[in-house]
Amino acid sequence: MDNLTSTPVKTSWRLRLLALALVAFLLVHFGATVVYTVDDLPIDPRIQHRAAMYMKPLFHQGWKLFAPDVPTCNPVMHFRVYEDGGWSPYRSLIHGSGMPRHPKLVYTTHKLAVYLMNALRLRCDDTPDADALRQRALASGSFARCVNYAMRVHQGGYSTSADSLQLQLVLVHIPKFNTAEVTDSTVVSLPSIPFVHEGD
Amino acid sequence: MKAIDRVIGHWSSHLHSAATQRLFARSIFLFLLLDYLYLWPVRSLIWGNDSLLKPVQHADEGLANIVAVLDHERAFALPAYYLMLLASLWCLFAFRGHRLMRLVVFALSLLLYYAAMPVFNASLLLFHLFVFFSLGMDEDARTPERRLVSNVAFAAARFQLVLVYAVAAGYKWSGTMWTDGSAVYYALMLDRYDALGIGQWLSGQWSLLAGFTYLGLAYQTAFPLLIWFKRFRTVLLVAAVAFHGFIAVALNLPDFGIAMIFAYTVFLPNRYAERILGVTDKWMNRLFKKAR
Repeated sequence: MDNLTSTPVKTSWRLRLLALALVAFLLVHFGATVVYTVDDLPIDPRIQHRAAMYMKPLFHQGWKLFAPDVPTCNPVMHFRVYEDGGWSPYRSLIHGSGMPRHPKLVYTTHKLAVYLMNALRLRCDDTPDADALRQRALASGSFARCVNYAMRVHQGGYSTSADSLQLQLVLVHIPKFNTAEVTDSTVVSLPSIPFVHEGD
Repeated sequence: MKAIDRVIGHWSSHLHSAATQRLFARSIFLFLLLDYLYLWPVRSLIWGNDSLLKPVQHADEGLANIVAVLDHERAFALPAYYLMLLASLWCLFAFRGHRLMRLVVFALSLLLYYAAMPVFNASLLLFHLFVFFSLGMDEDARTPERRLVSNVAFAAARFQLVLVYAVAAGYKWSGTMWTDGSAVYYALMLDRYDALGIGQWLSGQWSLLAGFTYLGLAYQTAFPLLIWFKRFRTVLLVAAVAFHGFIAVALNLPDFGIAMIFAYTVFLPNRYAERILGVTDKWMNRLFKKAR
């Protein structure tokens, strides 16, 4: 097939300039890609900033796939609501009553819990400081997104008369490799937020 | 100057791996079509007015806010989703104007991604980059200039895939779990990847799990180095299908596994691409004959 489309080419200046432009573009593009995707490169922060400006949002990417290490706990999000003068039991956000059982929704719920864990700067082996967590949560877009998600799940499957909602993040530790030794989960209660009903 | 002209002549005289370029372009849009179709049953919950995902405040100015427009203007998100499906289909079947339509796909997919980031994994980001490179690819290029751009864009897509593995492998070597053999165990035990319970089932088979970890690390390290040599290519591609097939099933990441297998068409030897295209073209001709 290659040979069928092959024709001898006399190199014109136009072609040379085009080749030069393409090489220059690729050098800049992949240079920025490397600077953007690889942490801790010994490079001037101004260059790193420019690379990030170029990469985000059109060419955003990150390849820390299960690396450098894999998390050693599962963050699991629960929620409860205050209604009729008392708190409901904590309910799981996964497979919330009335929600379709689509694998992507399950994945999304897990991922929101990971985003929240990162936003709160929690680590699997941390003992979190309650005040610092509260402040980080209230300032975080991820927390707002998780609260909204929980409200929507609640409205989809339970009553709509709730006054406020509280999230709980449980870090369930994975049994240790080679020994299967189990450690207790870490439970993080997050600030309660007034419930926003649709149309409010 | 003569040496440079020779190189330019090589890159502009003919389309490199013409059938592979054509098959790769189709793979990109077939994957995007499937990836978005998979979300059809929950499209309203993701992009509709009653979306589960609340808009995120973007601190950045300019372009970051522009691509987040569907995050804030939900009324346009579902129409954009339908348009995305149509545009992907248009590019897949290479209807007239499909090269311009690739630009539409690039823009729409970015907008839809930034309105629903937690829904997607890195496979969609990789395919955004491939769509970007496909803007330069012209499988019917007739002029030296077009052939040069097409070949360079195709080579860039190859380099991008290699970069993914090089960066991922580099990070893995910098940690401790991939070298002590525990990484696959912990990955399989993560709830979000263990819908089938394979992690629990294999728990206790420490040597086997360590073996999987070392195989994964060896493959990801070898791929970016050896894929450039034609003699290793077929073996690596077979290993790639096994590796990503395992990830798709064991880690419950079918979209990521399928994405990577589709991505490998960029390195498929031309003779295999010709055979695959021969079959798919025949199938498509029949389909369109029936439609007529």
